[in-house]
Amino acid sequence: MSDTEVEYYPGGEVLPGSYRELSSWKEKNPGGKIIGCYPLYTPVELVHAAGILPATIAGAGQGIHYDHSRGSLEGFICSIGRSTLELNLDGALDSLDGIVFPSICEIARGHSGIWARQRPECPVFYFNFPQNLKSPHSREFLQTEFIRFREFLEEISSSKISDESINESIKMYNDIRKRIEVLNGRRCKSPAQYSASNLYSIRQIGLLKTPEEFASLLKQEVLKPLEEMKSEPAYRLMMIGAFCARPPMELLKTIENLGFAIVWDDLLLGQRWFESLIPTDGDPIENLTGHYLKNSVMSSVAHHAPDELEEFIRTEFGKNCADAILLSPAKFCHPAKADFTWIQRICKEQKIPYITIEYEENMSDFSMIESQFETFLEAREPSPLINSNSGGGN
Amino acid sequence: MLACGIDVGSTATKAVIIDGNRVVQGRGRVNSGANLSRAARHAFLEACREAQCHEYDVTYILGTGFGRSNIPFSHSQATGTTCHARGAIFRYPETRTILDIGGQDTVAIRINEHGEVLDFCINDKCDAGNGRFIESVADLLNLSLSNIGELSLKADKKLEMANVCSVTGEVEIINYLEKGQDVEDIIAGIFATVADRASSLVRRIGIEEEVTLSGGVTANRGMVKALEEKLGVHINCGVDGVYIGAHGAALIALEKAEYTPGGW
Amino acid sequence: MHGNLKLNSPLLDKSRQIIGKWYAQGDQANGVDRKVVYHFQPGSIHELLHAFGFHVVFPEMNSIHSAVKKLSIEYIHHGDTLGFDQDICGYVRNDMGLMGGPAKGKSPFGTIPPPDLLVLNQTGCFTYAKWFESLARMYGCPLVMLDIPYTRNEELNASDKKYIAGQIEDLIKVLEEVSGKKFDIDILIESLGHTRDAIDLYLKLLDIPKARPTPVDGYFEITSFMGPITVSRGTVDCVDYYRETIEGIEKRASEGRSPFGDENFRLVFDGPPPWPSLKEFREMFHKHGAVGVAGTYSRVTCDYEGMETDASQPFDFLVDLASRSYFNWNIEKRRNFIHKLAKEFDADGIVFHSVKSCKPYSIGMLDSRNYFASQTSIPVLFLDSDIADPRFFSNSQIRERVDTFMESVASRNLRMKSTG
Repeated sequence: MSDTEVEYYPGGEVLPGSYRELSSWKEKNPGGKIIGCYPLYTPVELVHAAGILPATIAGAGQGIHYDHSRGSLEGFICSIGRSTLELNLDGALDSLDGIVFPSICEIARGHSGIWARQRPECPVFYFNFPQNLKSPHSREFLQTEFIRFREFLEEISSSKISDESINESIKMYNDIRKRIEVLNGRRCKSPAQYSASNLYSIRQIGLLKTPEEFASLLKQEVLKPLEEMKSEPAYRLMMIGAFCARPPMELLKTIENLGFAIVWDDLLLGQRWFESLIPTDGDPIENLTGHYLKNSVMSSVAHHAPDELEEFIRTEFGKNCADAILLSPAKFCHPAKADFTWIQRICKEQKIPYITIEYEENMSDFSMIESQFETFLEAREPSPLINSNSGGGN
Repeated sequence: MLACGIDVGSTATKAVIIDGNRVVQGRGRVNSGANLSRAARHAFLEACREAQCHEYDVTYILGTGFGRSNIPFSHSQATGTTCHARGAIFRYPETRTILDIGGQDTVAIRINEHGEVLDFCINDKCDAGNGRFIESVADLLNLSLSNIGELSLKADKKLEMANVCSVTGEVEIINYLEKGQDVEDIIAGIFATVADRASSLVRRIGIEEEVTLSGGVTANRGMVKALEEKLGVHINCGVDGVYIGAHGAALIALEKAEYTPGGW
Repeated sequence: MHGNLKLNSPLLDKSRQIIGKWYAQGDQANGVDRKVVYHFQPGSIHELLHAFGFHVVFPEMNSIHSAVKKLSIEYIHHGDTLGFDQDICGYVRNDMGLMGGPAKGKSPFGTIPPPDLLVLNQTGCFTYAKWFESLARMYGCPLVMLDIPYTRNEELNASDKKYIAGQIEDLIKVLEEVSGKKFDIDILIESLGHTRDAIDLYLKLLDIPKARPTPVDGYFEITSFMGPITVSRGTVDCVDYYRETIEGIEKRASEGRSPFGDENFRLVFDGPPPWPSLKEFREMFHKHGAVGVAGTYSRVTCDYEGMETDASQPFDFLVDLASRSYFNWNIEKRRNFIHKLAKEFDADGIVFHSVKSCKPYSIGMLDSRNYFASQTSIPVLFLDSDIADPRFFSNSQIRERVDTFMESVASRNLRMKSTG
């Protein structure tokens, strides 16, 4: 990691200061515009094609105090909903020239309205992705949404966005997704030499960088040799549910220090929204539309048939050679928790061990989580009582 | 004519007697305990003793506070918010924002120049912003409420408290003590947490100067300092700010006595 | 002297009869002779479902009745036992507990038949999808979605309406398959004719509290009168009900009777009522002579105001019915609407009732409250509790806030009166 990255991402995490530093990007790029992109997936390809910097608004991380937002949001709001408002009211997002909220949940949706009132000079776009992906009518509807978003961006950038530039941007983001998948594969294959926390850190840097810079960083990361082998993890975990609000880095490190390796996760899911690369020839809006409808990843924010969730768990669990599932929803995240009712049942039926924790962006005490993991390990240690009954002592 | 306001709080019950010129003649204060009507009576009689009057000399008694319906000898009641507003503006005519940190709740109140409540916000769900939390911290650290405030002023730093509830806040305090941290720094951190919670209530209704503090914490200089730092404004407070609610109730009682035939 | 709104007024009795009849129909629907569809209230198009002879169950109604009958805590506990997290809507947990717990759908207010089909009209609430996905797992029945785009501006755009219309067309094929009946548009048109009549009467009912004093509480009473237009819209019963209700209220007005005593304050309410504690909540206001004159809750199924479609354009009408729920409005539209209600109904204040279970309703309420408090001179009160879980209704805390608010409004009104 370069000095710049260390300076703005101490500990490898996006913090409030990281957003303030977007103003430096504007100084270096006079006339440049920035659009905030709330999780999960928003069409960053179009933003980039418009010559605008897409800045993922990924919460404020640890250490934030809710000085301003407490009086504007209800108590049962998840931490990213709260921190986004706090960042806004505290001026950390003053560099934004616009913001886009996708239709992932009521909090994102309500936020678009709160933002519109709090920041009338910073236009808001609510991108209404269809939920009825199987309907043949969703295609035309979604296509119209992409076109509407394109028009929104053209107005902000005061210039037309050509199909060619969109296809070029799609190529750029395809590259990024490809490299992230390489690193995911490395982490899964050799977690003792390439950890989830390491990958999480690199991916966070990409949230507020230009895709060119991020792609270059990822390329360097892919080329880096693996670290020296540390001890093999006791358990390989599939971490599900932390797809939106960022859990603190310390949470992942706590888990890893206890001997667990996270071999699959849905962290920063917006960065990995597609299961395959988007076509880059022909009409890009049609390509984006078709790809969204057919190739979006499984997530709790989208409607899916019951058997699709079951199938997903079975497939991914096996594919990643996981030993257990870590259900890790953000506090107050009802999309995740609604699905977890059923994932827990699947785990029980399939005899898959699982642990359930909850997190908030700004949590600082991990002792209870440590206890849960330690208990999990202790419950799986061989019992001395059973051994002593088999053959008169060891 | 004499009028009395009795403020039955969760921790303490206060009574204030004023005369027809709105001059305070007597005050009383007792622990509320488990029997609120008895506490109300004792506080009232204590105020009568100080006023050198008989209880029947008092024309109108108005009850307020969370236990206001437990004053069988009162003539009527009004909420604590309304009474604190009246009491605060009487003492500080330029005040427009009041923060009352009580035992079991904290209320932020915005008023107009007549002392009418324009907006208010109550935190009665989370003890980490209330006087009760400060009391429990004092108990835990084996300190008195009277010197906990002064100790915090000697702190070199404020030990960060996570924004959690008062129960887990106590766990954090124990963790800090185990690590050998100074008590002064811990208390300063606690006060910063309480101030943080309280100030977010004030921000919700909008800070308009002058800001007045009422409730038992007015005697706690450390807490007052923490609030001023958090809100970024000077705060009106006197060491007897705990009587503001009862005083406001007495003022309303006098008005009712003056405008109601026979004082009833 | 403030009266107590009696729960056994004839107008409420009739509403209860219609709901009772609806539950009785559910008892009798046995999946062979009469199939059962589950559907949601906001944006419901149950006239289309009735046209195929389905009995329609609205799961939220079961949760509301559970709460009103003080059964919700028991069902919610069963929902918790089945693994539904506390952060999930109380209505869902109640329903899961009622249907999947020991009761197996048998409740004191009616037996809820299991579904043969789930028609998931996703209007404003993301949890609806999870709710029906859970039911699909429990009963192994098909689920078809009707995805309603969010009202991002003042109205839905043409693309949004086309999307909805296309899904309704596809839905008809599924309904034919499951019911075994061919779609008969005449049945639908006849039903929609009654719907239009009921809507016109319902709008008239909602307007009555503009009168001073109001002969009907536009929040607490009208909420109780909503049942028929929710479960039996499209029937003659529903039309008759609202005609009689309006006549009854007009008679009340002409005789100078009011079920709640003097009218001292007029309030607009945003948010649903706290069903488990409805009576206590109502009395906290009525004891001050504070009556509800309007509420946004009466527009949750659909905001019929300004709706011009009718039975002569059956599919356009269905699209309108599906897409005009208050639930589906953006926050600015809601805020402007509340402001309009406060002016048109000459309100003394606005009460925002945020509920933990219902994020689509509650998100943004506090921001709106702040807007009114800082940008207008209308007194506002913010309360929070829940629609299903009685543990979130703190009687003393809510009462303190209501009393404080009413004192401040009284003081303000007195001063305004004295200064002319």
